[in-house]
Amino acid sequence: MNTIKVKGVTKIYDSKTTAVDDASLTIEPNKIYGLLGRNGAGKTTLLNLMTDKIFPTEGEITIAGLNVNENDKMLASMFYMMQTDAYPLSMKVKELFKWTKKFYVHFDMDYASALAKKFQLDITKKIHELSTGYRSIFKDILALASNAEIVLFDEPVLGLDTNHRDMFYRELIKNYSQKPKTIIVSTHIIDEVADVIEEVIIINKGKIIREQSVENFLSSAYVIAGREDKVDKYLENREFIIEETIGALKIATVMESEKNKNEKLAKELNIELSNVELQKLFITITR
Amino acid sequence: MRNSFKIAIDILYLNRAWTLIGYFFLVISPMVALVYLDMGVSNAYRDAVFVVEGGKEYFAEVLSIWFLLLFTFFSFGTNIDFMRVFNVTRKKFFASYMISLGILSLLIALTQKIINTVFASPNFVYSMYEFIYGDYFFVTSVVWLFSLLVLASSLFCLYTSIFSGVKDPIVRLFMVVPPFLPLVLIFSGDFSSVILFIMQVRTFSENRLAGNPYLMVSLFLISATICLFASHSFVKKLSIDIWQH
Repeated sequence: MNTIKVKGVTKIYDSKTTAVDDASLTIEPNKIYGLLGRNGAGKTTLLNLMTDKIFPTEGEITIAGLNVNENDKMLASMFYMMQTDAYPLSMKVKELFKWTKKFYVHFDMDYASALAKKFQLDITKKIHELSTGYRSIFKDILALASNAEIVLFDEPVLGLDTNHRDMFYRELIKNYSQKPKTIIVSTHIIDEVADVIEEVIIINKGKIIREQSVENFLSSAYVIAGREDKVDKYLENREFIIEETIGALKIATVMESEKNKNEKLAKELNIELSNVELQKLFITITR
Repeated sequence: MRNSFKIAIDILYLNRAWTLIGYFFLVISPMVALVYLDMGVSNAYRDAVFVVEGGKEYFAEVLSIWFLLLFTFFSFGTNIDFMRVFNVTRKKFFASYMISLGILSLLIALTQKIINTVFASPNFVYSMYEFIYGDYFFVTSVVWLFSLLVLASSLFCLYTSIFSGVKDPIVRLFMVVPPFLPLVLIFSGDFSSVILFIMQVRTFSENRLAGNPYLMVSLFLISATICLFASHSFVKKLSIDIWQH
């Protein structure tokens, strides 16, 4: 199985901008990963490094133990849905389906056509005639139908309306359940991807700050809400991040495992305890 | 995995529209026009082009080389963009690119020599064997032109590879100028300057190499190989951040 290992990778642009800083992580096969980070956090750089589009300044990336650099076999097992438009703009969508089939022998033409119909993508149109949303849909379809062992999506829902975003994530889960594969979804629209991903990788200012299952990540914090003085009392000797204070009401995220929450004390202080949402926790730790 | 030869055909196919236009205007038309001029039609440019023996060939070769330069330069970025979306390695891309340039060089050499032969009416040839294999006839001249074009292609590949790695806009501007000098000279009417370089190469090969075309072809191919290795080392370092930053 093709495990991707990123070992101490650093990428510095022009000897001054550190896009990725000593990143180490392991991508297990047949899981869906969410690569989350703020704008400019280093998500795209990390994906470009994984697919050998750019070279690390330090460290190495391996797939199944082999360095990814100039590794034809390994690179052929990956499909990278890039955020940038590198396809010839004057080419028609249906032509690019055929071109993809030439490079990815397992590319499913029928599935691609069915998806195009489902998303109402006109395959007779040229790439430059497509809107931003439909360009994303076109690239998403290529990635979904590629049947590659490893599929990387960089901002797959860029420019998509709510309906299309929902359709895409449903299709992604359906595709994964029928043909399990390693999927990495890089996005900063977190609330929608929260139900799709199994593992979360959070990158902030080039550093990997979290790499764990969504379940474990969410259980590493919880939210409390109540009167300001009561909340302050609860928070004594606890690591916390204050989110907001509205009048006398105070809401805070407590950075400790859910197992450690003191329900008895909360009840005495009339404080409400609740689970933290992925997006809120993300915002909290990347502030 | 798609092999290098298939990708080479893909590269030619992807650039087919303007390649065919360039091929017609810079490879076929000049050769036909110059051979036609050679047949006795008066033209203002005639004296300039045929100021020396074999001038029309030199001129057609210069245009073919310039066509190859345009092909190498303009197809490089679009090809690498297209190939990188399908995760093709740099090594394979480079090999495919050179195969496509080799195919194009062979086509140009064949086209020009066929046109030349058809119009030339070689009355002084004694046999078909001599016509095809003789020292200064069809096969020899095709091989000569092919090797010259391969050398030119590899030099352009080296030039384009270096150009792709340069980020400084001023250095880039300076690098763009030299390839366009022949064009300026052509439009300024100074044909003799344009063909001078090719003439010198020919004279060198004929005099220094004792008129042995095969020795000269070998020399060209060795030079081409050196250029290819040099450009490969640049291509290996190609990174998409060149286009993104």
